[in-house]
Amino acid sequence: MKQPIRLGNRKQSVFEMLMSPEVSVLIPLIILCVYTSTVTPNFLKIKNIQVIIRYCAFIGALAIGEAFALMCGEIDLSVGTCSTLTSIIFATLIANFGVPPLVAVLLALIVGLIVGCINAFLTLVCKVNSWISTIAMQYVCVGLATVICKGKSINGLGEAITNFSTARPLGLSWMIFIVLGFFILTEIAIRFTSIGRQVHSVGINEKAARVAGIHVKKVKWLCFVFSSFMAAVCGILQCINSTGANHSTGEGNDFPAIICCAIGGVSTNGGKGSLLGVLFGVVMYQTLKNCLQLLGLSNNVQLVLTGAILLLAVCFDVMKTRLKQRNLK
Amino acid sequence: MKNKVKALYTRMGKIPEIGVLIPLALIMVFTHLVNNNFLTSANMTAMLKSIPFIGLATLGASLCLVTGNVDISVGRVAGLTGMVFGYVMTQTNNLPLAIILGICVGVAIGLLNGFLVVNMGISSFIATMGTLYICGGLRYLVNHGTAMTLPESFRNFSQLTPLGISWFFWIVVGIYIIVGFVQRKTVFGRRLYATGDNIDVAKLQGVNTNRIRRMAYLLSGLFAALAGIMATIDINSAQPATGTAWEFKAVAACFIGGTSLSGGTGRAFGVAVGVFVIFVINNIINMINLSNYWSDVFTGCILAAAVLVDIIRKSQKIKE
Repeated sequence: MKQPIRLGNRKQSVFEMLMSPEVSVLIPLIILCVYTSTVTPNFLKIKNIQVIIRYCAFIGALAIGEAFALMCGEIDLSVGTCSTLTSIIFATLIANFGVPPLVAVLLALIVGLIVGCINAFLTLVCKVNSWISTIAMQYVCVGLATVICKGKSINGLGEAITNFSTARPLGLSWMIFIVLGFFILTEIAIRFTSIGRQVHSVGINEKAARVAGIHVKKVKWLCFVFSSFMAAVCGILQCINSTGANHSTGEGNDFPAIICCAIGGVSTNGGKGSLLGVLFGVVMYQTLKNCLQLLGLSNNVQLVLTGAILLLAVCFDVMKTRLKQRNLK
Repeated sequence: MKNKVKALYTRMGKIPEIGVLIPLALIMVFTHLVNNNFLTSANMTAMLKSIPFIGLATLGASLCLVTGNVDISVGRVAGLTGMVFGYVMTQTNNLPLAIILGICVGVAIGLLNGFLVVNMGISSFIATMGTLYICGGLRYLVNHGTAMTLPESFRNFSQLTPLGISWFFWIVVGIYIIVGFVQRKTVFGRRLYATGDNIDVAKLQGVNTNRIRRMAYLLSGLFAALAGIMATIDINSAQPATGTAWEFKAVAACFIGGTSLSGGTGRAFGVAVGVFVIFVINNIINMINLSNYWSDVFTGCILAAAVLVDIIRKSQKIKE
């Protein structure tokens, strides 16, 4: 009697595994990789893969923060420009004021926290919609960044930074390990701690969460501040990587960060998503970019294909959910 | 007499946009004191001439917002239709065909947006971001992304100044009035608001909410296409960069004008006020000789302040 049930369970679990958001991202990724590797043999060379992984660090840091903002049901459109501001401040502190790098890191992170606090204050205390508060912050950050660097790029960060940026542990860079560390920490936080559950439940239904005794505002404050904090991390890493900064460093990175989250199964309506999915989303985004570049497509064709693939991935996810619901019935 | 003044005062207080209009008037007067070239007819007409294109695209985006969805693709759609219009125009020199094809492109993208959001159930932000990327790339692929100059006859049209401002301004004012009328007085308009306010209730009342939401996207695409075509005629040249960064301006203008992201509120007049505020801010920054670097900081602060003032006013109203 028991055996068929167990078999059924196993089938169910394989089915569930195939249906998990992470896997649904992986399948198109593999197809894309196979295609590109047949067309351009350079794609699967170790060197190229190392390049892909190295560049995951920056967009990855942004996507972690953005994922938290999205999961609690808000949006943060200022992550890209916040990273610009922090990278400029970081570079200025070191190059123009001779601040030791570690102190500069600390100060730049504090700037990120302040930006996050202002976002949270405008959204949660003043009750401005997070769209408009973070768009306003976008303007302010870009403006301040250009004011500080006077529209010029800042170079000359010293030997320590150069050494750090050119170091290649395992052929990668220190930065990707830092960001991976953040991924692991946040994934643990979301999956296994009460804070993670609170973020999700606030995103699913704010009123229900409040009734259940969750301090909704506190959770959202945390998400906004963390989002800008990760943007600051991204800014610092970008600055270190290019051993310099200018006012267009993080320009236009808001949408890619949100795309990575969306591909990784984080719903923009809140309440859904895991950091593992976001990590896959980031890897997929960078791989996609690399594939399109290796295929020798122009920048504009790349834009079109990025948009089309984003829509396909999301459509795929939606259809899968529908299939799942039908199967449950 | 006193009663009349009081009645006027309370009536003015009931205009939803008053919370933005009064600070705007104060800022304008203040700017005029700093630089007395600000409130001159030359400056004002120059500003009003540049408004209609973003203004029309914003109106479309606001219709989507009323139904509770966002449309951030409007700017790039305008850019793409402008390029398609310019390409057809320079190739065939057939004005009706060029306009129709341009509009077809806009409507097609509106339909695609509607299909993705309403039928597929993708979140409207992600769906329109996808079309934003697609249109953003496509507009540089038309004619290899090089600008095209239109025939000379268009220049004569765009340089006409009926009532002091360009034809485009009056056309867009006309469209705003029509949309305002449709929103207030027609069944379709009421259904737009009903859908945005509470979609389940609207469904129970027999409103075909899917059709209404698709319609909003279609109109948004249509208005964006018209905006792109008019912008192209205005500068007499199809530029692929047209429409870049309109999306945030459009959404910001809608919010300033009292349209909320959750749907069900906002009207054409408010959107017009919002667009006006955005352009006045830009103009003021030029006028008070602020260093270019500070202009973005200033824009952001005013944006937040404009929305804040409105929110404070509304919360006081609720208290009353």
